[in-house]
Amino acid sequence: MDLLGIALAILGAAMAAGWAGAGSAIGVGIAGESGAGVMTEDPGKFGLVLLLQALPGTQGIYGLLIAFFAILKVGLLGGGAEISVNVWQGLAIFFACLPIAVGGYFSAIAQGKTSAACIQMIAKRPEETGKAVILPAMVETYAVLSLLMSIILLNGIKL
Amino acid sequence: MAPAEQYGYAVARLRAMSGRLLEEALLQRILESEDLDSALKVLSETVYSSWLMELKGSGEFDRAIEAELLHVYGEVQKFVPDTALVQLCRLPYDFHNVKVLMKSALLVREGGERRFDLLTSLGNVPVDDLIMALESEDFRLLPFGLHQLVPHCFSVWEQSKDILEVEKLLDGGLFSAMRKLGAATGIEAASMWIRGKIDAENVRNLLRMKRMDMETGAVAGFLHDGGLISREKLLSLFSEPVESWSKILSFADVSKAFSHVQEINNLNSLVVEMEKVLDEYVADIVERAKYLAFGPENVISYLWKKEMEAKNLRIALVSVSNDTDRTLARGLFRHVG
Amino acid sequence: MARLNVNPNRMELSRLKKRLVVAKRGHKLLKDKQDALIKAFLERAREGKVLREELESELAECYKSFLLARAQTLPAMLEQALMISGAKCDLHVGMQNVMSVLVPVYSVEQGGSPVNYGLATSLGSLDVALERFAALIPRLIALAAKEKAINLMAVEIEKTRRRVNALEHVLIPGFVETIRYITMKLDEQERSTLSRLMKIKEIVRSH
Repeated sequence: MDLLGIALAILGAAMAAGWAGAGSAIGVGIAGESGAGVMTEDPGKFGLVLLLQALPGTQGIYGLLIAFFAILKVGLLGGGAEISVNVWQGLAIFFACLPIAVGGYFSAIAQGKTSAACIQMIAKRPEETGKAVILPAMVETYAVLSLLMSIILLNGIKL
Repeated sequence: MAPAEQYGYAVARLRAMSGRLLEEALLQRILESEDLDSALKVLSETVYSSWLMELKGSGEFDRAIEAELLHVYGEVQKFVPDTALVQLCRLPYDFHNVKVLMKSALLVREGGERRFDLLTSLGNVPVDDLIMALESEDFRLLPFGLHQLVPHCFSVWEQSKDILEVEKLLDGGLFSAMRKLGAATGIEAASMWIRGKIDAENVRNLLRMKRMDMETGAVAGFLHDGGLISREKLLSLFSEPVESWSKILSFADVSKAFSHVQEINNLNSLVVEMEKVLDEYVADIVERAKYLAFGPENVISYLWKKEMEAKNLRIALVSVSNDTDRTLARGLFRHVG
Repeated sequence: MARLNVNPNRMELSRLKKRLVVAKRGHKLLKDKQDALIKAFLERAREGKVLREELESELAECYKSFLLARAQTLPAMLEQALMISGAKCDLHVGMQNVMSVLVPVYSVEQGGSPVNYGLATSLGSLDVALERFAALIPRLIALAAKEKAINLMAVEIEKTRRRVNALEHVLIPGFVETIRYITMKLDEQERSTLSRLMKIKEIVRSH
């Protein structure tokens, strides 16, 4: 019974890191394609393009963060004393990880598209770089909210 | 149709490239130049500079324009996921080449000479392949429906000796090939663009025939199917005075074009002006592309803008080299994008 | 003044006198012809000039509209459209006699339509330009006829003027001179005959 609780917590951590990371990878990939397109024509835009491309990457980091939190919670990290986790507690940790897993995945892809569009925008209007960074950052809000929720939920679980 | 995500690279690159389209201000500067040499000097500040260097004389600016267009087509074709979109834009040049070769063949029979110098490499089919096919009369490998169309045209010529009939067939072939090519891509925007283009072409032809006072019976042959406006509607339009066309066509987008022309009474200048306005209308159909980060219509939009740029540039340079009225040239500029 | 190389006798004198009369009449006629020719010539030249100026400005207009068509398309496409022409132009030459000058008169018959190309790969501006050119052709040929006539008349005037001059300055003075010479010679002969006769008479009387 104990082992199932731990396993559920690990599943939660894995999903948080995995899905959010996958989302970020797709997002960064989309933005990167656009970035490559712009840089083929104008290599001087590398700095701006890199900044915009990196934006969807944050979701992956958030996912990783939550994954750390979760496995820290169940004591898998650092070889500390084993905390007994029952099935319900494990399930609770699994659910607490879901906001960032789902929110991270979709927001990263959405942000990737926005970033790609903004990269295209700076290709045409280099003078509007400031605005171009804000637009993808708006998507980031919801990834941060997901992260926040995941942290609050994880903190709320009593072991 | 390739998945939309694949357009990320292409669209971004096209955006960057469209940033380098000649600006209105530059065209004005060219137009205000004293003579052709100083106009070309202005032009050499732009992407055209590399082609200008290869010119033997300043009178050959047409070659530079063509070379740049060819370069852009080749480049875009390399990175666009659906190359059919590029083919679509190059298709008119293929049909031009076929016309040249066909007329050459007919002229040779009457003791004339071949005009291979009129061929352009802007088409999809390599010029040499076309020449081979036409010379050996082996049309089987020609794409875009030409394998059937060309022999048919030759037989029509044999019967009627009327080049106009042949040209009509080829023009019809051009638009049906465009429709087929557009439908095969599965991109709705492409199909819509073609339909709009056919509309524009039909209206343009109607106007030209109206000006020439052609018989109503002959008109139908010059109209093309597949536009948003039906052939019957267009034919009924022909008997109406031009002033009321925009009212009758108000259900179609093309009527927008009419609102841009001022002088509707003088058919001569109307024809010239409509040509410009309809070009702008065709650009307008895919104008939505500018809001779509992954839209394939960006490809069409960019290529059409490039074509317009070539046109504008040619207008400016011809005007400067012949020292004609600059306001006339200014009025001909296509304002797109 | 050049005197004709003739035998000074009465025969010659009467012949020369006749020729002088003819020459004077011819001179007068030619002079009249020349005046009339010059009058007609000036009239035509004035007309020709007006027509030419008119046509030149119209031709410039035509070229302008052609330039419009050329500016908006690939040059090869423009030429392709014009590769096989559908228009026919028959030209007939007739002759008209103006003051004994044979002046050509052209008549033009235009057939077919100048617009003989597909509409998809050509421009409406080209239609306009071609129609203008087609409309201009008969007038251009009329101008050509007029200018040719002016040219021919100028040559004729030149010829007439030379003839008039030749009559006036060479032939007629020559005749007059010769006639005077012959008369003087004849008078001289008469006087010498007379004196000889008187001398003979004197000799006869003294005997």
